[in-house]
Amino acid sequence: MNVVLIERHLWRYAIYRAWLSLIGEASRYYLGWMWWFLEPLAMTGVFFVVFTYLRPANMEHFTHFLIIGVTTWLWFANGVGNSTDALAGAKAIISQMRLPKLLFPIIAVCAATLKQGFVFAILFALMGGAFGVHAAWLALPLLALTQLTLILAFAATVALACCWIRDLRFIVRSGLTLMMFCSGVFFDVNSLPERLEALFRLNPMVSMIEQYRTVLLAGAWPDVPWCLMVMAAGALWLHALRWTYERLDLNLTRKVIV
Amino acid sequence: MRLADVSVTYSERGLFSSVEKVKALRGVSLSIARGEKVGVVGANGSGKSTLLRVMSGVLRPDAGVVDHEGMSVALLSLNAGFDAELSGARNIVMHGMLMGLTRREAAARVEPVMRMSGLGDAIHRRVGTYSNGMRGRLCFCTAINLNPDVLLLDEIFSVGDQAFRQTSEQAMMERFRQDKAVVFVSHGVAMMKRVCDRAIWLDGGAIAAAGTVEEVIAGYRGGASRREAEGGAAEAARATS
Repeated sequence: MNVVLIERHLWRYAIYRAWLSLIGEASRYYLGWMWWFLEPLAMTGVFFVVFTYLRPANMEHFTHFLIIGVTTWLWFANGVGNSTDALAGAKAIISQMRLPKLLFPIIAVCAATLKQGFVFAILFALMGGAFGVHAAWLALPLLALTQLTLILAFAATVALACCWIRDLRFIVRSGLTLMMFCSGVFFDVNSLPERLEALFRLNPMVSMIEQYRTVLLAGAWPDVPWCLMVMAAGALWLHALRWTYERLDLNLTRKVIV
Repeated sequence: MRLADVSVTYSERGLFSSVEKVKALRGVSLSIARGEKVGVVGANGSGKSTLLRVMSGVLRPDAGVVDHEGMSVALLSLNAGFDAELSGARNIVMHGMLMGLTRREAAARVEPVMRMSGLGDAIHRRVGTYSNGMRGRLCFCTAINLNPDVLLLDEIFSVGDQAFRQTSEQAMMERFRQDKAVVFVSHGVAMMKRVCDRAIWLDGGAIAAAGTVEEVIAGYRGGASRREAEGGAAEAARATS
């Protein structure tokens, strides 16, 4: 079984391609790469105004609570959101070369992940300054790896579905907005009525965001078995997807080209 | 490489419309030997690009067989999958990495491509700022440096100036001496006559003629004038009715 989904040289290409696309993206704006930090800051600002002044959240360290939710959510939303167009957007290269189509959602996720690397550096510095660095921070790479697996699994699924039925990209965008409001980005899911909480917890981003808050705000160890379970389920799903992509490869080429 | 009775149909299905089918290739059979150079002519929509995509393995035919017989094949057209937001040099590196080279090995190809293409410092500019001719140079020189057994070129020579055509022709002749095959779609009849051993004419997705370049070009031009005359007559009839 190929545990790395695509060949090694294609991983090298994906990371380099993702890096170049970030440089290209940054060069299009006056504030360039500063938007990588300004986007989560702006989103945090909006939620802060809404939940502090319009509907007070009455929560200690609400700004820090919020910024962890927003930055973690944006990684997921960018990775999955960019994948809706991953195959159609690569029409020029797909009509030119026979490449495994799984490469394209992987490039989209790599771009979101490289950007997140810088955002996390700032976030961790901020949290370390406010609450100190704890031994539990050693679990942060595990959390990041768990989230990366989750993003890859969602992104590869979305890319395949949106290539097959292009209309789905509109539904995915709305779905991501709905998912954000149900992920506990700006509220504590534990404060919900029990039945509603169980329903919200079907969304894996709820627990994902909670795990980061457990480590960064409370300085406690995350739920490691939950992380391992998500990683195992994500890896299995990704391999099922790899099989599906391989079987559908030439059909996907036609879907993209025509 | 060999194609036997290859057919390709594109279909488009809308939720509220019936299935629309377009026959892009109809029963095409063709074989390309090592070192051969074959020209492909045909009107727009005759199936030329689809034929090259099938030959490269990018597209699977609905019927028939494509056998590469162990030969490596590279397809290059004008857009070549280049990213307009990135420089020519970075596009060359990415192309090389897709072919399995490391970043360092791929970067080593920038210099030869720069020299051969004559792009000079423009190689470090965004491809989006290139003229069609410059894109053609970049595309051809990147492809020729990849060194596949069969090189499929789709309308690369429709752009570019006289100097570029001469350089590319020389490079192609060099490849032919190396026992590599080239199939190229082009409207440049003079170049095809100089370079190709034989040609095929595609019409409506089927091979209308195959043989020496002169014979095929004569047939293609005759067919085109006939169609033009028929089209003119039909238009005149519509105008008088």
